[in-house]
Amino acid sequence: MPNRMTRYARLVVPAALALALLAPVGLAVAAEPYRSPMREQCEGELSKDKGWQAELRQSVRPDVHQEDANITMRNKKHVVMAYGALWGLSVIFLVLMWLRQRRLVAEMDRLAQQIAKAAAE
Amino acid sequence: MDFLRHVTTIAWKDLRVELRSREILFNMAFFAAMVVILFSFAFLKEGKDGAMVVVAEVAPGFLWIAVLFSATLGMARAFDRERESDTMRGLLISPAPRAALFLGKAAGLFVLMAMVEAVVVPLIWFFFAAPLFAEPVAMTAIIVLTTAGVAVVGSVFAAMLMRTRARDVLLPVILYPILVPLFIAAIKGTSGVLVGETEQTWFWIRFLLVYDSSFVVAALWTFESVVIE
Amino acid sequence: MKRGIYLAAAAACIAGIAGTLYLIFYRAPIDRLLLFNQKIFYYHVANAWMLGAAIITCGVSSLLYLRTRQGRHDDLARAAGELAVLYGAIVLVTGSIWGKAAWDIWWDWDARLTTSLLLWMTMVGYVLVRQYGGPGSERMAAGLGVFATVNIPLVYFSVKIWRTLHPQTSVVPGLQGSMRAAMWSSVALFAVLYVLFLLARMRVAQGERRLSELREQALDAGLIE
Repeated sequence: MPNRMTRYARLVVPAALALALLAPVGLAVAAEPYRSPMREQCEGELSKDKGWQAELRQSVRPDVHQEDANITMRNKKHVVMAYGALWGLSVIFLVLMWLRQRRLVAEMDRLAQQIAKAAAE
Repeated sequence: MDFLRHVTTIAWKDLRVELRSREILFNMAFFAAMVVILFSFAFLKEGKDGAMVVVAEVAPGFLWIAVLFSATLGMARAFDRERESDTMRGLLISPAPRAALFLGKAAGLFVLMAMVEAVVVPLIWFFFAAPLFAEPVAMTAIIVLTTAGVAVVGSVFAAMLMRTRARDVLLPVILYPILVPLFIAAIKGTSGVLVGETEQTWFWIRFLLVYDSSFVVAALWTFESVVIE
Repeated sequence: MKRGIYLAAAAACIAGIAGTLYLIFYRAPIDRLLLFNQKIFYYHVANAWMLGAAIITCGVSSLLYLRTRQGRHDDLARAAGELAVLYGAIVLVTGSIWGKAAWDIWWDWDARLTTSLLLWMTMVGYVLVRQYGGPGSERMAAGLGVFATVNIPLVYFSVKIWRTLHPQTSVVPGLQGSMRAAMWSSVALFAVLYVLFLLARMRVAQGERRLSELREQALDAGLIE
């Protein structure tokens, strides 16, 4: 039985390690957003032409976006609840497994003691 | 055709024992009728002229829930008998193949359920004025296929749990989620018959066929191994 | 050495969690319709796939156990069954919260949510049978596991044709750039976690099996009563 577990472990765990480490990093690198080369030029023009600046700011309608931003901020609680529940449930599962393992080890010790006692007689 | 002979022998044995005392049959039928009447109290509403009517859309649901509950009683009792008189061992060492044993049991349960449905279906027709036999072919197909599905799956699980202490509680707990697609199909098919939508009805009848064949195969795979003497 | 592998894998998972959270909250853009709450989607879908994987693992190893009666198949089935209960609970809770955020109701009888509920209930029944079934419960539960797996497509199609409100079929292929990155890295993370949990739970189950075998041997040898 130890051999089988070691076989599983040798095959699966390194693959799992590689996947866990490389996946987020690799995909993050692949998803770099585009950056325009004309940024400095546009910013220079904007700072010179004040009227343009004011017009742009108005067309963006910050009041509407303020409302949307409020909704977004308020709704964070659902996301927090969901993630919290997810990790909470996982932690409960891990705790139950750990308790089970502890009970198993205690049983094994008890059995070993019984056998040792019987063998000594 | 030895196999078929075994199946019919076992089914007939069960039925003969049952028909002598009619204990399970009467209990199942009465319980089903009680369920129908009790549930209708939950859904009565004032009709146009002050008379109480039942919301017609729920008639299929009542029919199949009453059938399901009484079938659960029936399948537990059917294997109870085997356990009490310890005849399961005798059946298992007989020359009948286990698949025949299982199909025979399922066939016996099927006939019992059919007798109960012969009571419940007219009751629904009577109390809810539901035109259940507007399309007799479709309705019969739905009843036969649903009953067969319940009988097959129920027999496997009842046989599995025969020797378990917590049998009466565990049987519904593990059986009902497996039976849900069957009941969705039966209820939607029946309401299709009531409303007159033939296409929907026949879709669900095909679905019932798929369900029954999948689970007969699954049952034949597992029955041999899960029966405990 | 084994312990070292497990610790390293756990550390990798923690790194993976940090990585996916970064991708989800800092890289993926805010969804136009559902705004911030769409972020729940990444872990929710990953867990839903792992639920399916767990149930299928349980079903296949249950069938193998019924055929061959070898203990290791039973251990794997048991581990997968318990994990299916965990993942099912996660999917239902996060899905329900997402539904509340997006459509303002905790539960609607939508196809996928109902299917998950039914499959989850079947696996809870599986765990109950393992726990309270008494002698021979391994075989009973194995039978139930096989039936649960055969039931998956039937439940899905029956409920789907019965109701549809869920975001229409496949949202996943249509995902853009960094959303896709967040999605797939979440799936990868939970796949790794699934395998790790499975192996850990299997070890415990194997230990229990070995213990009861040893106790039987000691009884036979007259060493204990």
